[in-house]
Amino acid sequence: MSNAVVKTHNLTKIFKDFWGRNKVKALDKLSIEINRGEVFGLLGPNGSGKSTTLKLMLGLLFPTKGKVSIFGKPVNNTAIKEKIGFLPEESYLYGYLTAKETLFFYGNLFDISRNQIKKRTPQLLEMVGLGKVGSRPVREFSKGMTRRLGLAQALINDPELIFLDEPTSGLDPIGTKQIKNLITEMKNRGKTILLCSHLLADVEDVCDRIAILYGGKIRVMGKVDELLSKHDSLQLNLPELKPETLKQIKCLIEKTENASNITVEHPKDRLEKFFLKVIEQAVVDKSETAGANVLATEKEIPEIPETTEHNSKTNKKIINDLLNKEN
Amino acid sequence: MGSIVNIALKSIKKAMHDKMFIGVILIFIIILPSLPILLYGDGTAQGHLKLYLTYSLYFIMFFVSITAIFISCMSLNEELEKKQMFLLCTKPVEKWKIVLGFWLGAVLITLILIIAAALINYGGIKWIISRYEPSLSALEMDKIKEQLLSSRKSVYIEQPDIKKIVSAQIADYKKEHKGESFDYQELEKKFKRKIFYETFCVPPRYEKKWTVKGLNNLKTDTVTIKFKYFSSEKPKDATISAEWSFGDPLKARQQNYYLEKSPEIYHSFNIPVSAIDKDGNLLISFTNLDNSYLTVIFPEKNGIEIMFHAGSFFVNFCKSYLLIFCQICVLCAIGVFFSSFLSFPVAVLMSLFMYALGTQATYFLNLLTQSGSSPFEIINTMGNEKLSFLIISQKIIAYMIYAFPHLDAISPVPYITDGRVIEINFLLRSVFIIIFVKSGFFLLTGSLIFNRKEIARVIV
Repeated sequence: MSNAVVKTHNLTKIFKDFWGRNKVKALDKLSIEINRGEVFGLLGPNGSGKSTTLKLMLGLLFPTKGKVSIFGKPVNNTAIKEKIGFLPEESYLYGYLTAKETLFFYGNLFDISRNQIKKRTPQLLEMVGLGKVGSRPVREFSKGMTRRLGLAQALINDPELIFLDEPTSGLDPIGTKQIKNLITEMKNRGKTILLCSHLLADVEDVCDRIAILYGGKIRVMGKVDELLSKHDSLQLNLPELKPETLKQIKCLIEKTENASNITVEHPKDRLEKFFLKVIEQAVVDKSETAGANVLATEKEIPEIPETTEHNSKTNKKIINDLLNKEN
Repeated sequence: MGSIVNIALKSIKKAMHDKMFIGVILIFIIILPSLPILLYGDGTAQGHLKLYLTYSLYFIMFFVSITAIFISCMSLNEELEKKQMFLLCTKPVEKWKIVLGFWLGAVLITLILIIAAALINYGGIKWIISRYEPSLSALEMDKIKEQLLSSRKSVYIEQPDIKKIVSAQIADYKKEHKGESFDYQELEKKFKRKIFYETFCVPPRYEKKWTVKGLNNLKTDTVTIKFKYFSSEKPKDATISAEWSFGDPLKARQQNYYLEKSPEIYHSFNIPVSAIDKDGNLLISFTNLDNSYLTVIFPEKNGIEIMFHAGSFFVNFCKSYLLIFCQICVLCAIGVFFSSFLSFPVAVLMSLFMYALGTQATYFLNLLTQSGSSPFEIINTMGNEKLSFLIISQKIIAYMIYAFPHLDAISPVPYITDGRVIEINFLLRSVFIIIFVKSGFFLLTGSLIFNRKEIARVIV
């Protein structure tokens, strides 16, 4: 029995002009299977068909040819949408609603009790760092804050399948890292995630498998580790060595392996990590901010809303992981 | 149902934050209360009140109709334009529920306006009365209450079944003139004219009698006789003298009146209910005593009308706003229907066209069918006509107009300004036809179109 949650078969989309003549072939016989519990990344340059694929999978566009099925059912089946969460490229939210009202509005569209929505709303807002601005209208939010709220609305129904279109666009490095950690945690909880992004580093960090699209066709598809591994070179991580020891090692390698292309340099700190260190200090100093919360101390870090029988892990390690991972 | 209400409530919230809508409400709140001051009329209390009732209701109907069209066209279109529909359509909500939710939202927003309008309008009526009350005699006040601030039922003189009589006469004619060819339409016109003259024309020194039925169990002391007639020529002294007698002397107390009234305008006077017999019948006798020997012609419809008190003005006033609400429901449905496949400006334009057509639908239908009867009745009488392209296309257009919402037919203005009761049967029929049938048709079609619509715009 197939483990595929999302399945496309020969999916083709041709956009037509006003007179019904074929204008652009946006997708050409795309066949993808996304398995349960997998984080799948869809990459490609502008106009490669990523967004079209996503929209076809969500039923926002109709295929010209081919089929899409989600949980084994056609996309126009309303019942499957109970299990889907979607964060669009831009968070198309209502400016006149507050963050809480937004989550209430979208939550009420699902088959979830009002009590459950009431309980889940503050938890989700806390999780995305908007706990303190829940009563503010969305039109007053920065782009990053609306992205966070957009993510919260995508998770309001505790979906099994999550479509994330450029989830980190407009977010600061902390937000980006939080989202990436969140994606990893959701994956650990058995969720299936389809990620569309231009930021290749984000995709690399969180995706199990990727597909690269160009001209509406798949050019490459496979596991990230397999696709990115270089089998013709090695990297050694060593503590600081004396110059003599380093010289001896180089000589040994040159003699025994006959290798001349050897480089030795100090590893550099990543800008992301450096930035996070500065912000952590600001939080420790209790500097005030009108923006999204930066969770620094363990006490302040909330739990991801527990809604299924899955073991709920806390994201209290988000910042700590963030800061300690590469030490 | 939950998601429909949820979407509708969200639409209301949006309107409450919309500067345009707030501006519209402010304009409404400023203009409407100033109408009793601006519309002064002929200086009499009755004239002032009648003018205010007429124009305030027309203003309210026009204003809320335009608002309803704009709101309903904007709600769905804006969501599509701002791509907020992406999120809505990826939630477990059927497309027809989304369409219905936006319709309900637009209806509820306009309902707020209607309620505000009703309160201000009623306040205006009370203000005008309180302004004139100290200077008016009890008799004058009673007259205003009876003719304007009342809810009166009407009955008309019993009319002959013209269709039946004409077809019988044509059948007789055919028998008498076997084998002869004749123009059916011309003959029909001729017989109709004959019956009309026999029933509604009173030559000089002649008496014509009519019976009015359905005046049982009246709870008032008097009934109002409202009449209008024409004369064959313009009378020398501008009036026509006639003797009116009411009541069958064998069954009720007969009342006689000698009146000199000018033609072509409506006149009314009261008679005691004792003229009506136990069976609820009123015999009316009219004798033409005109000195110039002119023939008096009563209009076929509404020539003589008997009006009697049948409820409170307040209830009638509320019913009139229910009729306005019916209009709003169908206009919102039209707006949502057009915005399911057209852009905002085009949808507004089409909705305004439908609105304009709807306010004149009966006129257009009469123009096409030439008799004011429905196309169904016309089709029944088509057997004897030659079917031509012109007739067929005329019928098709007539059917199309018939399917349109006849906003003029459910206008409350003639009822309120004339103190006529809005019958509960008429109200229920209007609610059923306008809200359930015609609004339902537009919403269903809109839902089907929206269901087949690609929500995402083409980006390649």
